[in-house]
Amino acid sequence: MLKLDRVDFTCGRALFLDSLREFREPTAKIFVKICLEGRIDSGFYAQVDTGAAWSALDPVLARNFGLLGMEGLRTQLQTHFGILQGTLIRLRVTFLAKEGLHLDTSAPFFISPDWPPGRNFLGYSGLLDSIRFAVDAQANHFYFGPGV
Amino acid sequence: MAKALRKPQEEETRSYVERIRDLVEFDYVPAARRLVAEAVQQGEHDEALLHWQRVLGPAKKSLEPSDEREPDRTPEFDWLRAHGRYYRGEWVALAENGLLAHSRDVREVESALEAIRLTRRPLLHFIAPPYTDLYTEQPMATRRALRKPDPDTRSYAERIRELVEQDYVGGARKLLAEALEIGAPDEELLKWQRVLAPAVSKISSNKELDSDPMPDVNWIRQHGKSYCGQWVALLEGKLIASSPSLDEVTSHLKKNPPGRRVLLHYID
Repeated sequence: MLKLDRVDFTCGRALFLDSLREFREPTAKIFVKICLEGRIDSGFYAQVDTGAAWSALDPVLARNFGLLGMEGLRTQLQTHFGILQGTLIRLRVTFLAKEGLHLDTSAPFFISPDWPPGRNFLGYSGLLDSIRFAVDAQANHFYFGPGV
Repeated sequence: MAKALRKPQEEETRSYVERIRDLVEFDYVPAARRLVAEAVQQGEHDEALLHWQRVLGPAKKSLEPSDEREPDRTPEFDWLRAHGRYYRGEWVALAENGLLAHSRDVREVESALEAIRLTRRPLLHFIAPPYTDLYTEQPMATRRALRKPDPDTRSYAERIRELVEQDYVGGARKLLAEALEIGAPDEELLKWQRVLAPAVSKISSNKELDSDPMPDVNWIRQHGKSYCGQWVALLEGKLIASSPSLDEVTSHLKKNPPGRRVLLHYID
């Protein structure tokens, strides 16, 4: 794994996807596979978005995971899809490693019934700002590790 | 968008350059690169096309790593925090001892720098004008939530929500800390505390490594069109379950556990 001053900087490495027709993104992005709420038996892709303040979860996945009834904070956020009403809920997230070790963390996710299905975002506040990560865009490697 | 790559029924009348620009304007960079390559292969070499070729070409690898280090910019950032608000909408050039030049026109700043003997590379920075609402183009009341109106009638929770809704997460955290310091947190403040708390991350105890994603990706590429609007569960390039309802897919997985981690994916 990556080291900084001879100390581990990351614990795991995933192979990220940068383009897939079904993601409906015109240019390469970074899609990593994650699990939610400890349900390690199934994973799904989410886009790493350092420009987004908040993480967002597909409402269909949220309902399937039994998250819609969870206690959260009602709020409205400006999103790619306009101003949406929804709830901010803290969820457990696992970054899945193809090499090394998985990383468990938690982050507030915005869940809105009006959010289009199949789109999940990992935003900066409370998630990416709490871990260490690095990208090797040539090899499609996404490195991650616990924050300090 | 796809118009630029699609061959229309009638003869394509637009030039390669127009079609490339069309793709670039919609962020379809890989497609634009393919079209540039096609144009060059067809023997097109007008100036605009060569310009697009340069713009869309891969970045040049640096020949040698440089020993030059960026200086410690703490004095410049301190200056920006203290004085930046007075120079909104302007370019500023800063050095360790303060402001060197400022103007709305970056070229004026650059020419002012030419007349100054510099001891180190200055920090050239554009200070954005007050944040503008993307939808109404009206200046947002960004600081209103942090400012105390006279008298302040809104609760801390209301002010925190306002900051959160405008993505001022740092400001919301500061206000929350202030509210908690004053004491008597109500239930909503405690909820904000949970949501805004920094995450604790740790190495997972689960040791089952993730599989190679490419077999699943290849399955989606080959068969995705037949499953539009459906959720699919894939395991190492094989379809385990599919349905427009994710509940049906996960219920199938519960009844027939595949024993390995599956990919759940919605095909748009």
